[in-house]
Amino acid sequence: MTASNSSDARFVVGIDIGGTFTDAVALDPVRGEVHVGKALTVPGNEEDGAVAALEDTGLALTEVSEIVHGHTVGLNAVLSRGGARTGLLATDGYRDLLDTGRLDRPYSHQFDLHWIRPHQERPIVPRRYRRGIRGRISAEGNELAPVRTDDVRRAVSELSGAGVSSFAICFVNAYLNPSHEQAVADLVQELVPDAYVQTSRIYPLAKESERTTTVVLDAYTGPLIIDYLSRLEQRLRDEGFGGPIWIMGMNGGVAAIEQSKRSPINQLLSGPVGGVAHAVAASDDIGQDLVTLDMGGTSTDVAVITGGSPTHTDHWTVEWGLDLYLPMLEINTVGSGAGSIISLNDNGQLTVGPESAGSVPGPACYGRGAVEPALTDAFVVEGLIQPEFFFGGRMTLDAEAATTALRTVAERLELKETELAGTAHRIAISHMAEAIRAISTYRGLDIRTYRLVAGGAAGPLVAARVAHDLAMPEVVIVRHPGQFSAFGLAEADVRVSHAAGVMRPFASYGPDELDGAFRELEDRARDEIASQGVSVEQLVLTRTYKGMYAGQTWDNVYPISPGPYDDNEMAATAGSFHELYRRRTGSSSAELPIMLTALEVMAVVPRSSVDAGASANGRAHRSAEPVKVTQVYWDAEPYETPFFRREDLAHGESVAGPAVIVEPHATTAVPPGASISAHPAGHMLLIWNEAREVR
Amino acid sequence: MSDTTMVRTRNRYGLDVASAEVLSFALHQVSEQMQQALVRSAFSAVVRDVVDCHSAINMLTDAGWETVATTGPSQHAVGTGHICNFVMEEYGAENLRRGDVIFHNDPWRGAIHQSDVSVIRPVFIDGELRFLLETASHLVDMGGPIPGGYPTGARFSYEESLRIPPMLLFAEDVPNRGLFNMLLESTRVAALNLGDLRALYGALVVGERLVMELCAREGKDRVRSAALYALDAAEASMRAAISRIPDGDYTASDVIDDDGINARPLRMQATVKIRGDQLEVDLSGTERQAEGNSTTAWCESTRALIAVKMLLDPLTLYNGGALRPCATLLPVGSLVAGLPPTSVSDHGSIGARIVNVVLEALNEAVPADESVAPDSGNPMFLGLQGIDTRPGRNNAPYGSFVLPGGAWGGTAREDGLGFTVVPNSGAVCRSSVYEHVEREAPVIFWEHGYMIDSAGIGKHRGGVGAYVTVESLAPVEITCVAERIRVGAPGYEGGGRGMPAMAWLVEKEDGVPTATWNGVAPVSDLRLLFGRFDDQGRPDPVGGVVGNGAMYEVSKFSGLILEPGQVFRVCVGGGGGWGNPLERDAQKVLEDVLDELVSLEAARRDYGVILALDGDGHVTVDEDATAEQRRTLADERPDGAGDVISCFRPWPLKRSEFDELRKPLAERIAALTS
Repeated sequence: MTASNSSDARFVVGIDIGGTFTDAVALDPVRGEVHVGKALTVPGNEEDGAVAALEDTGLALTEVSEIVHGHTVGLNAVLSRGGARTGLLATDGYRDLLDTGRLDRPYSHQFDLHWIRPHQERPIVPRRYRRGIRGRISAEGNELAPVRTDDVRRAVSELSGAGVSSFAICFVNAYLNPSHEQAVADLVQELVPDAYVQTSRIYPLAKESERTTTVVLDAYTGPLIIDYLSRLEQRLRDEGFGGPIWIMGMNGGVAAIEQSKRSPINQLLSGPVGGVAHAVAASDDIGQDLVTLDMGGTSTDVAVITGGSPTHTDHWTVEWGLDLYLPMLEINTVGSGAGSIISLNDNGQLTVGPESAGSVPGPACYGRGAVEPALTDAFVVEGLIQPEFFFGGRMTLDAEAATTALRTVAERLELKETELAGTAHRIAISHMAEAIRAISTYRGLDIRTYRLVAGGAAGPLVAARVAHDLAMPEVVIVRHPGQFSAFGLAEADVRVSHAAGVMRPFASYGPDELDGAFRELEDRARDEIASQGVSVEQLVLTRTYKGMYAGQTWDNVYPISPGPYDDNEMAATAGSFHELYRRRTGSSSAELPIMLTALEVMAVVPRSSVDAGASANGRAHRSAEPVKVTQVYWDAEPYETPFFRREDLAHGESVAGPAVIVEPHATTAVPPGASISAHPAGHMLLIWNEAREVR
Repeated sequence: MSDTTMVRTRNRYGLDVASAEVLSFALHQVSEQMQQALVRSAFSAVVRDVVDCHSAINMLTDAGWETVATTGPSQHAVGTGHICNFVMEEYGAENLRRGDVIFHNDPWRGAIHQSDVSVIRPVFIDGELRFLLETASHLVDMGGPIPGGYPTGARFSYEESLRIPPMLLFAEDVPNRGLFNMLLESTRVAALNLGDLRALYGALVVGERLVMELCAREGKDRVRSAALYALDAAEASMRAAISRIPDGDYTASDVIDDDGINARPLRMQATVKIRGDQLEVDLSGTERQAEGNSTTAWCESTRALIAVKMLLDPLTLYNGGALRPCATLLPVGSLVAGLPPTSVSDHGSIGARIVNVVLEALNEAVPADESVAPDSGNPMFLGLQGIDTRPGRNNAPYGSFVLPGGAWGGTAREDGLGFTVVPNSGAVCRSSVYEHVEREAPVIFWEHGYMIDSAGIGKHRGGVGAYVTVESLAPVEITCVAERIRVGAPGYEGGGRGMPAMAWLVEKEDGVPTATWNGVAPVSDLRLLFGRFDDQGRPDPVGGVVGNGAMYEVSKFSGLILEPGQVFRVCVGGGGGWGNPLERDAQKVLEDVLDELVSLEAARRDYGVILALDGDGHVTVDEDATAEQRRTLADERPDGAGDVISCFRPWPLKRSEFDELRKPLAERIAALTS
């Protein structure tokens, strides 16, 4: 990373804007010193919350060397339909791609006559702002018909007259030949110099529908994101901060604030990415093979890290039919969070989530009038959450309200409140375990040797039992799990990805040609990183390719060695393709040509790893004394259970479950049969005494 | 209180509620993983993009083989249990070994039509047959007179394609070379077929691994108990839904256009008999089986129950338990239970319409705020096949499918959905990716968009119909199976009918197809293929005549050769409207006009909404003129707009009239008022 703005400035600060709170984590990478801050998120003026959270760390800006930031301004704009007034210039005959989606609907609404596609119900670009432009590129990339600039002029004139200030341009087959899009983009910019203009260049791969929604989402959110970033930067500069500001992207890496304005869509949703970045950054200390579990109020995010590298994907559904098609970290989200509502459907079947109590009214135990029980109420009734420790005692909990809320459902099931709490807890755990299986074991990945990394305020409450369900013997509870994402931001690497759509048989490449094609991408990535003022000395480059059999259209990402290649290496690459393909789909077609659809390069400049200086765990060499001993229900069975403060745990000392470890913004449950110990690097390691047997 | 409380669950299934929920959900997840493996490893567009395929787990219960989990479009979901029962009765469970895979495509053994092939694999746990996994998909070609599986004009199943009784495709995971050779050598696109057969097989392998892992992890008996719990829960949910409807007999009827041979509508009738918590769908009154291929064997007809599910209990996860309280009565020898050896390949027209008719019957039974207007007919199937004769393409055979997407009717709650594979025909089927299709087949897709004035008018209008324009670069053999060309989808509660379907060949100019305006083009640019037209060739759903000057008098054809450079355009009709259009919020009509979904003329003529320009030149509703126009229309249409059929008019004859349409809206309004 670059030098700091002054010699006192020794903290890197991660600031993560969430739905309710804005978190800040200040980290001294040399001494390992950590300060955390929290403030309310200020919708519409998110920079105020960011600065307030920073102030709450107690540090002066002169002590801050760099700021790394993640936010959801873009996503909020999409969800609230508050984005820029956007026009779509599409190939004539294709302006309805935003409405067609892929014609389909979610399986869960397969029989639902009243289901309406989100974009039909609440368009982000109404049809009146979508115009067809004559002109056509063929599937070979040749011009079939020239662009009609008169169409462009008329469309731009009418649309700007209607207040459109942002233009998305996406043409059929532009991924093969961008000349039409570029010509139209230039013309639009010439006609309306102030307009925001985006084209397929942000990720030029095939699939007209998904590409169109991606470009449109960028045009819709880009102006707001850029405006926000400018306000944030101005605000920080006004406060006297002179160091670099980095913005987290969905690809799991950060980019310089100016650089990040080129494809703002890449920061549509960067919050959950921080947690994964945190685990990646800590992988030297906590293990190379990890599964992350980040449990928030409404949902839980899970991700897989193998060999210190997270899994990537290029597809995320923002709303049904509104797909984002970009390289990004693969994060699977399940609608089970601490606020998930526990209810009975008409047939007496118990459900937990996806409806959530949110922050208002919140779970019943918040005492804000909620009647329906939420998962947090179950934790309170089980005794896992003791009101005096919750939120560091800054918030009072009404345990009686939690019990009353649970009783409304428990009575209908002829259950005790504690039994219902245990049942709901178990259902939530199985949902999370299923979400993890979907991105691991269901793809042939054996995660029994992986460690589960728990983050989020509630993650450490459930992690042990999720791990048990998955036959994972060990759980890592990171430092400050309640600031999982912000912590990850402070540690995030600079990361740049470059891809080229190719659509060529693998066998048509000679070893040197393939190596050369990757090198070209690597050079572009290196240049982009250097242009952000970052030294490329420690640059780590990873090559992957997207492949499928000739004749298919669903490609997948496959690994390939760094190069250079020879014939043996090429044969080994093909061999591993067939094997990985078979593991996923149950069959393979080794006699068919492998088609390469894209070559991709990920360039990463790692931050120096954090020095082992624990702050969350204590350094005392005496045995920890419980701060409280009380009855807690574990899977509906009562146990006398000691509560410890995290800072009282000494290094190396092991506490056997049942036990609960409390800290200001998180609670860790250590069930009977498990034990937990503090680690010098700052995290806690929970171990099941006997791994669950899986035959 | 229902049957599935904690105590009863423990007593009956030996499971706590959490385990029962968790394990049955896990089984569902397995079917989803199978489906993902199938779709992602398939080679044909009809599977990998359109997703005309499914994956299911069946289990032996007291009621025979029942579907405990399924993922995929509804047309396959209902049939999988039937298929397993037929095949097992014939093949014998005792003859199955681990790694065996049985193949069949016989409509009288439960296949939808011969193109939908089915493969079944047993799952043995500790040596005991516990589950039958089934995957099925539309194979691009199963032989016969034309590729794709919709040979319009076929009268007997022998003329349609290969029909193969249950036999081993794999024996203990070793491919049965004889059957593979037969399937690949008797069909046109062997490479696609081989790839798809592998995908069907691979999904079974994935499913077997996951089911076995689940049983190992959780215990096979617990998994079985959870599956029984899931079946009972779906049954209880359906029974509860039926109980909410008053007992009685509810009848509706409709027609399908023709059987592709005789230009004569075919009558369909359904009576839903509700008794307590059970119901019977009686399709008596439906016409005898047809000469052409629009008859169905029988399995497709049991999809009548999809309508029941849709209207009564849509959100509960589907499994075979939902079928338990329901029965379908099929008159043998009729359109809905054709006797062999009749042709049955066009399953989509009859199957989709059965669901529609049952929905219409149930409309009378459910509370008014749950009723729906009918949809645009079948999903409109478009097949493009042939040999790529372009230089450098090695005469490679290709086969591609496109679903233009139909339109759902308006509902009691909102406007109908456009661009959807009409829900009764799968709903989760997808569109093709044109950038892929254009790489693989010698075609250019020029347009796929909304057709103006196609939605049935109503307080909640129907979904908007769509049009697709395609040009060939080498001879392309087109199969097109349309419905509702005679008359558009009916409305409900005073809503109007949707626009009927139609098709044309299109002229070119400067090397590209002549322009449309939201699907409308001057008659001088068009050659009529099918539809209802007036004597000058204009679409006219009221005064026009079916086939008037058009190439076809029927709504379904195959074997139309599109020579290089020729352009084909087809238009799917709109959904029926719900409620009186004069009660539609005038502001919504204005929005539809601005969005070019409803024309200026139709706003006035059909909705009684008159638009004007305000002082700033913005388009607004002329409230006074609208109120007056609506009073006039209310007098003319005292019973609502049931007789009104949507269609753009006046349809332009010449380019000059067409060019007027393309002027800015404000300009056209100004011209009208000046």
